[in-house]
Amino acid sequence: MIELDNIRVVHGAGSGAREAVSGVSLTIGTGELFGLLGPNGAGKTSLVSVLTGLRAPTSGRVILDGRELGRDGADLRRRIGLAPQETALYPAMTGLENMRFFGSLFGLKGPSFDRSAMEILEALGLAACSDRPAGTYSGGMLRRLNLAVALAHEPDILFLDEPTVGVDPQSRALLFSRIRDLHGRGRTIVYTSHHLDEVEALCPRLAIMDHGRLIACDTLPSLLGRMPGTIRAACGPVPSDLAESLAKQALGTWTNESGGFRLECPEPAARAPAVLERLIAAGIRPASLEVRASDLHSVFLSLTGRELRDG
Amino acid sequence: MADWPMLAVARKDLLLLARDRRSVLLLLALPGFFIAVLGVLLGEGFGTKADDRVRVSLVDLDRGTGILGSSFARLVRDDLLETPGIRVELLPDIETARRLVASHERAAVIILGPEFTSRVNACSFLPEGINPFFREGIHLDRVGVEVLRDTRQIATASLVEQVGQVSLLRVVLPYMIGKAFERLSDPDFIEILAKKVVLPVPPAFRPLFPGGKVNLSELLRLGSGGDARLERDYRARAGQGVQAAISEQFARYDLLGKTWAALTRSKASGTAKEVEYADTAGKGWLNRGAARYQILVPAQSVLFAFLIVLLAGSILVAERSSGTLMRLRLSPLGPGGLAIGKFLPVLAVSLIQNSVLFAAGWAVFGMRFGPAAWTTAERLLVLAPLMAGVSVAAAGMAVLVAALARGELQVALLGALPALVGAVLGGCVLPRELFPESTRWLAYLTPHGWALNAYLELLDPDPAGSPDLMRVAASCAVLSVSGLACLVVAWRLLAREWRR
Repeated sequence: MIELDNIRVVHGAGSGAREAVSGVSLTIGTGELFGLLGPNGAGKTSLVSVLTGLRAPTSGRVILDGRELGRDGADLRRRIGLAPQETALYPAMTGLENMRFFGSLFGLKGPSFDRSAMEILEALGLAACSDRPAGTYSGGMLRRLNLAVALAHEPDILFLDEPTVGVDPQSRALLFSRIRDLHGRGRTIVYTSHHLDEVEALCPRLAIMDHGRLIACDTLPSLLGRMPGTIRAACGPVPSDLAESLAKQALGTWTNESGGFRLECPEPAARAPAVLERLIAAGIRPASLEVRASDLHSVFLSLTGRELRDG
Repeated sequence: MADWPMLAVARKDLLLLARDRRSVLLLLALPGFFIAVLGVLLGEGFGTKADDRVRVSLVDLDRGTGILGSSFARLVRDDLLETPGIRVELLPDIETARRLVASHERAAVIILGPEFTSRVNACSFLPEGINPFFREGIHLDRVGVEVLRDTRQIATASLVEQVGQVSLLRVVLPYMIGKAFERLSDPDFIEILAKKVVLPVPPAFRPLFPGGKVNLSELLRLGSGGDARLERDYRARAGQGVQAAISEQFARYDLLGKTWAALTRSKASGTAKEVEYADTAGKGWLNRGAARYQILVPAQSVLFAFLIVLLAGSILVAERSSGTLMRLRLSPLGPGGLAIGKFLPVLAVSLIQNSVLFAAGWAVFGMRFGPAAWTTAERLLVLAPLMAGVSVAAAGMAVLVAALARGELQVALLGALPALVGAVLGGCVLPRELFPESTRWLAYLTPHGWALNAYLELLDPDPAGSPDLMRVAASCAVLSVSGLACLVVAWRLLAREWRR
């Protein structure tokens, strides 16, 4: 278990000081696939730096399985793997040589390590080009090798910082499959991204950061449940008493639109059949009915009042 | 030991460097190219130890025996050696002398001919002897001496000739004075003297000397009572008396001494060592074997050894920008491991670079290592620690620059500036002798200066020279300590970055 206790990170000093992380406290369970979502500059990478022990927080503590990271850094770091935003590799060395080098830093070497390294490369679709210099790899292959190197010493906690930057859809699918596989084998994974769809697709629980602050941390259904979905229909006018009754029944808000209506309510998919049934009973046959569940985008929008931006 | 992460880092850096063939080529070939270009372009004097003394080159063909059991040519050479500010170079033969003058490598060469001793022996103040003197000093042709002059270097040639004239005077003149003084006891001289000394006769003795005057000869004859043996004895005593009187009168001089030191009762303040001529200009278009390679090779090797700073700095900056440093920091490597892991490959590269350069210096440029009397093993035994010291200093500085620099520009400024300024102050670019005396001490503020000092001590162009090994050892110690000090500072800087 990873516990963050009121983590604060300040870059620089004096008048130029900038607070990158402001009092973040959260807990990541063992074996969890945890998402860290936020726009660029939200403080995700700074927080990951603290979580991996790369930098000490300005204040606060990181507790890893009951031991404070930083004080017992050396052996705890062996349990941590990081695939950083940059493809942190040596282009002049082959894929396998990169694996061997980073493995050797942890004292891993020899035929048994080579076999294990090749298995990781195989799983990431890189076995066939393991003897090619990394500098000749495509962007997607480099991202996969970046992940492979993070796995070289078989860490039980894996931090993936924006692992899909510049990756083609095929590589992304392969990465997702491998990440799910690793999660399935009990690894704790912290997945950092500013792509809502990625976090939504992978992470059962996530935290949302903006301007260095933690603005939400919950399971995906709970977060989504905080926001209403939408039932939108193209139909003739709905009498106001029926509209009022339907809104009350669905715990939502009714809005008449030109050529139809929009009903915002929780769990719209579950409520849509009953709404449709009562409309038909009232002699109103919608030409179309659109049901939209809430998503992280709307959650983020509602929490921050802004669109998730890239910069 | 094989599992130490720092060794993995060192191996990795060496592997990356080995794959960067262009860098390897530049590291190894560029210094060699510089040495070759400078070796072809520079003059004969470059690379020899600075010597402000006037070089007097001479050929000694004299085989005669003069005084003190040696030839007069030997006395001239000794006199030159005892003269302050003079460096005596002995050429093997007249052909070499002619060649050196013709090629303007020597302004003048004094040839002491085979007849020199016999001619000086014949010099005398007597009318029948050779009179060697004239307004300028010694008539060289009268004593069998020749001076070969380079018409392009008239001033220097005149200076050399005047130095030779003074020495010839100091040899020939006392010899002639001594010989002349010896004649004071010669019977012929006493006869002349006795006849010349004419005295008035007191009145009581006038009956014996009717002319009223008597000369010394007549008095001696009278005194001996007609005994011829006794008369000769009296004459000899008179001669000795004259000699003794003159000696007493001129007590500060030994007029019988025949050498300048004896005549003037003076001692030379010291004597220099005669230098046998050695061909320092080299052969072929590369001037292979030229003395200048004795300084060019070490100077360039020191210069390029410290330029490796740029290489190490760039590698660590690349690690920072690519994110691999982050990965290294996440490993059990630690800041000390990283510092040593970066230090070792630079040390290895510097050692390889130095070895290749010195091997090329020996094989291509014909340079020598240490005195001719040393065995190959002795040479390597002294050269290896020095090369190691230079490499430790260079590697230490490289890791320090790497730890300080945060970008390529900083590497260039922090690395190239001290490397080049150190090279200039240390004498790698220009011989230190070209600097004013008052600024030469600055060389000791740079590792380049210490390195070059030791190399020049060891690679003295004079094969008969004997290096001061304590000086070499002191340089090795200074270089090693400075390199290790830089490594420790780099370690601390990286540790601070690690903890940040």
